[in-house]
Parts: sequence; C-alpha cells; structure tokens
Amino acid sequence: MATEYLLQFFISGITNGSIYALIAIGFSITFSATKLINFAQGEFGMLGGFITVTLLKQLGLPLIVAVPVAICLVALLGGLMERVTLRPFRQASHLQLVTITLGSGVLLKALAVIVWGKDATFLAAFSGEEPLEIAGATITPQALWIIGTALVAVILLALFYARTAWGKATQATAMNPQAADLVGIPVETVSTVSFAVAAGMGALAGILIAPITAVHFNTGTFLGLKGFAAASLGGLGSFPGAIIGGLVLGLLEAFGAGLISSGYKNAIALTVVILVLMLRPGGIVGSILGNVEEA
Amino acid sequence: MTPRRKDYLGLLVLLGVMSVVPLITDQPYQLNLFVMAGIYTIICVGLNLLIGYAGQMSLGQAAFYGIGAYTTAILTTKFGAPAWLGLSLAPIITGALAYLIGTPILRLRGLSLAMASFAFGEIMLILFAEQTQWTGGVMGTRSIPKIALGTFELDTPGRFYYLVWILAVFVLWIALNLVRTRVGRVLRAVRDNEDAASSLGVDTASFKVAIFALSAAFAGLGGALYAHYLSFVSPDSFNFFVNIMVIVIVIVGGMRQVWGVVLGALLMVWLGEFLRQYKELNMVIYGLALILMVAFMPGGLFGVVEQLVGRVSRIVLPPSPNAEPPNESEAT
Repeated sequence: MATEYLLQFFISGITNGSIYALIAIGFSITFSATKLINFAQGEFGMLGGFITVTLLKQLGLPLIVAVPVAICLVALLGGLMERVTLRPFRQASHLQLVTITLGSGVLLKALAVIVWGKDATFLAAFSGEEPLEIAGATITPQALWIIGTALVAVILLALFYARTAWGKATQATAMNPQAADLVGIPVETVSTVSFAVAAGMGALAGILIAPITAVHFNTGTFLGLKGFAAASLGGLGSFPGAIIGGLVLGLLEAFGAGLISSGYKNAIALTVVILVLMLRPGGIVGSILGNVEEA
Repeated sequence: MTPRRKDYLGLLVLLGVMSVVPLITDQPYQLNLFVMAGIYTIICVGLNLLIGYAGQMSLGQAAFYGIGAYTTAILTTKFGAPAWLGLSLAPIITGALAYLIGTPILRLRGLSLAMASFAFGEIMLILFAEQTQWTGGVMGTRSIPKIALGTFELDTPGRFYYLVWILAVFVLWIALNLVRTRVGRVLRAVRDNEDAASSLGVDTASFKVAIFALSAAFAGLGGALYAHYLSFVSPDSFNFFVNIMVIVIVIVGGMRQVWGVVLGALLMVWLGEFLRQYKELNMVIYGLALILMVAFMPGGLFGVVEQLVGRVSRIVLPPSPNAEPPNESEAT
C-alpha cells in the first residue's frame, strides 16, 4: 500500500486520538482524586458541543467567546455533580457511587434529548474546510485545530499539576487522601475541582470534534466509551497514560479501519482494551513504570 | 420461620399469584407485559447476585441477553435445530463464554469487570450488526420457530406466559438456594472485604467468575426465551437502553435481596409501557432512579417492603423471647 495512505491513516489516528486523550485525561483525573470511574464523563463532551452550538446560534456569540463559556459551564456542572450527587454519600461503597455516576450520565443524556431534541446539530469548522496537503496526504484545518488545542491543553494541565500549589495538592490527594488531609489539604475541594477540570476537558473534546462528527444526544456514549477505553489502555489514573492510551487507540482504529475493515473499527479498539485488561491490568504506562494501580 | 422456609413460602406465593394472573386478565396485551417482566426477572436474577452479593458491576448484561437470543436464533434458523435444543444450549453457551472472559478479568479487584464487560458488550453489538450472514445484520433474524410441547405451540402470550414464569421461579429458586449456601456467604465476604476473605484462604476469584458465568447463563436463557417469544431478534433489542434498564431493575427492586428483581422487573416493564410515547422521560426516570435509590434507599423497594412487613409483624406478633437475632449481613 502506498505511503500516502499510511500517512493519511496516521493523521486521522492522531486527530481522533487527541480527542480520546482529552476524555481519557478526564477519566484519569477523577479516578486519581476519588478512585471512581465517572460514567457521565462522555456526556460532558456532548454537553460541550450542544452548549457551544446554542451560544453561537441562539445568542450570536463569536466562537472565541462561546467555546470558553461552554467549557466553563460544563466544568461548573461537573463540580456541581460531585458536590450534589457524590460527596454527601461518601460512606457508600464504590459500586454504589459508580452507579450514581451511571445514573447522572443517563439523566444528562435524557435531558439533552428534551432540551435539544433527537436530531444532530452541526457546528461549522473553526477555520474553513479547505484541506491542506502534506506529502500526498490531506489534513483538514479542523484536524489541526484538534491536535493543536489538545496539545496546548495537555501542556497547560501538566504545568498546572507540576508547578502550582493546587496541582501538587491534587497529586498528594491522589497518592494518599488521609495523609493529604492531615497536612491540611482540603481533600474534598480537591475532588470537586478534579471533577470540574475533568468535565471541562470532556467539554473541550466534545467541542473540538463537533465539526467532524456533529453533535447528537448519543455523542456522549461514543465519547465516553472511547475515552474510557483510552484510559484503561494507558493505565487508569495515569496522566501520561491517558495521552498515550488516547493516541494508541486513535491509531489502532485508523489503521484497523483502513487495513482491515471499517465496520469493525470500534471492535478492534475494544478488543485491544479487553486484552490489555487481561494481560496488563495496569495499562501500557502502568506496566512500564511498575506502579500498577487497580481500578 | 427459618430463612429457607421463608424462601420456599415466597416461591409458592409467587407461583400462586402468577398462576392467578391469566385468570384475571386474558388480554394478550397485558399478558405480554407479564411475559416481558418474567423474561427480565430471569435476566436480572443473575445480575442481582453479581451486583448485590458479589459487589461486581457488569455493564455487559444486555450483551449476554443478546448472545442467548442469537444462539438459539442461529441454531434454529440456520441449522434447523429444534426450539427446545436452542433454548437449552443458549444459557450453556452464554455461561461458558462469560466464564472464559471472566477468568482473566476477575483476578483483578475493583471495577475492572465494569470496564471489560462494557467493552465486551459494545463488541457484541457490533458483531450482531456486522455478521450479517449469521445474524441478519441490523435487519435482524426473522421466523425463529415457536417452542412447542408436542403439537401444542406456545404461540400466544397466554401460552408462553406459563413457560416464562415457571422458568423464572426455577431461576429464583437456584439463586435463593445459592445465597443460603457457602457460595452466598463467600460472595458477601468478597463484597464486604475481599482482602479479608482471601486471607482466610478463600479463592475469591473463582467464586466471582462462577457467579459471573451464572449471571450470564441466566441472561442467555432470558434472551433465548425472548427470541422464541417474538420469533425475531435484532441488535436494537440489546442496546445501551436495555443495559441501563436491567441495572435499574436490580437497583430499584433492591440489590441485596434476590426477590427485589421480581418487583423491579414488573415495575419497570409497566413503567416502560406507560411511557411508551415518552422514551426521554423514561430515561430521566431511569437516571433519577439510579441516583436517588442508591443514595437514599440502597435496599431498594424490596427493602422498604421488608421493613414495613417487619414493623407490622412486630405489632401483630410480639417477638418470642428466644427469637433469632436478625441476620446482620442481610440487613445491611
């Protein structure tokens, strides 16, 4: 097969992989802070897309304003979800809390149908549709937006966790909540903020991909599934793992669809997830670093 | 009364109530709902054991339901197997498949089963839709034969009703017996503290795998019944909505008691019918039910019923001085 094709698969893999990575980071942040898998994570992406479209079309806001506003609104919702549906029930088992997040996801999906209806909505590409050509393969401006924005978001987030006091407090909480609490870190606020950041990341992913896949009430299931797969592939709770997991998943899908069959694109990725869970439960990164953390 | 006697009494009461239903109503429309509730009871009994007793979340139950349905659909329409053979092989094949997947996954603690079963469920949905030569793809498989006893075809809701509820009672009987034996005690120990259980020498993983396989086998049986009842299966019958519905049935009915499933299944099937035109509203209720029940009524509706019955019986029959203390693990 010609190299242009392989390059094309690579570009499409990295593009989708960046989206998966953003959502996987969301899963990992909430998992680190609370040891919970948030099954509503994908819905934040769906909400981000819908809210942006509404802000653009109903309120006539420019894109540069609508996107940050939508992200902030969804982040607020994520924080609120933690405060209202999870924190008061901390004494409940993990299974129960995860069931609550599953309920929140179903609720958000249902409310989206009621507010925005069952039809898909479209968001125009951020800067035109004219594809660029690189070595025989094409790349759309939106794909560049996705890869670029994801990269910036990841760098900012990494700096936030490594450099700021708040980021370090979050890391401490992830390592040992009791000890963090003892040294005066507001552990509860950390988990609220973690949910908010995760929701914001999800919203960003949903907005970035909206011009490519359209926004639909079911978008959240698809985003959640992919992000979840990426997070478990990379190692749940690991920040670099989420990024690597996302990119690997995107590439697997793109090459799987191109070289094997597009109907099985999703099945290929999911099979890899099951295999990783069976053989390397800590995920790719967890296995390399040896800090296998069980979900 | 010993717990085991209570179970048998409960099963007899259920059989009694369920055999009276067709005498009260012979409308196929209503009997159809009872048949569906029976099928959902069978699917959810295993899930109830898995969630409530083993403390494991499976998000792939709809997939096992589908595997059961497609197993018998393929066996009967492609290989000409008789319906009863498909019906009996479906739970065995589904259970065996779950055993194979569960063995490596359930060595892990925590929520790994939720992740793996979620991925597995999605893969199965894709296979149902893509393996057109076997499953008929998104159009589904038609003309699956009806189950017949000799020349008596179970081709109406009224006739199918008895088969479904006899099997539902049978499945409940297995589950009730199981939770009263060592298996049930081990599962509760795993749920409450897996480390403690395994340090006492219990091979916790194999118990979890066994119950996962059993729950899948029950779901497979439910799926096979569904296939023969409707004579038609398509991937749409096993989608995300169904997955949520079976979890809602277990949570709303009461996850710490096998009986809760019957209550949950009847309630949710009726609710679904009532809100037929308003599927979004149905989803809103599912979402709220999951959040609110887990948060405020972890014992589910059956837990509430049980408390009420307990209160009434304490007023009516004052406790005898040498009464058994309440079983702690059951009450929490």
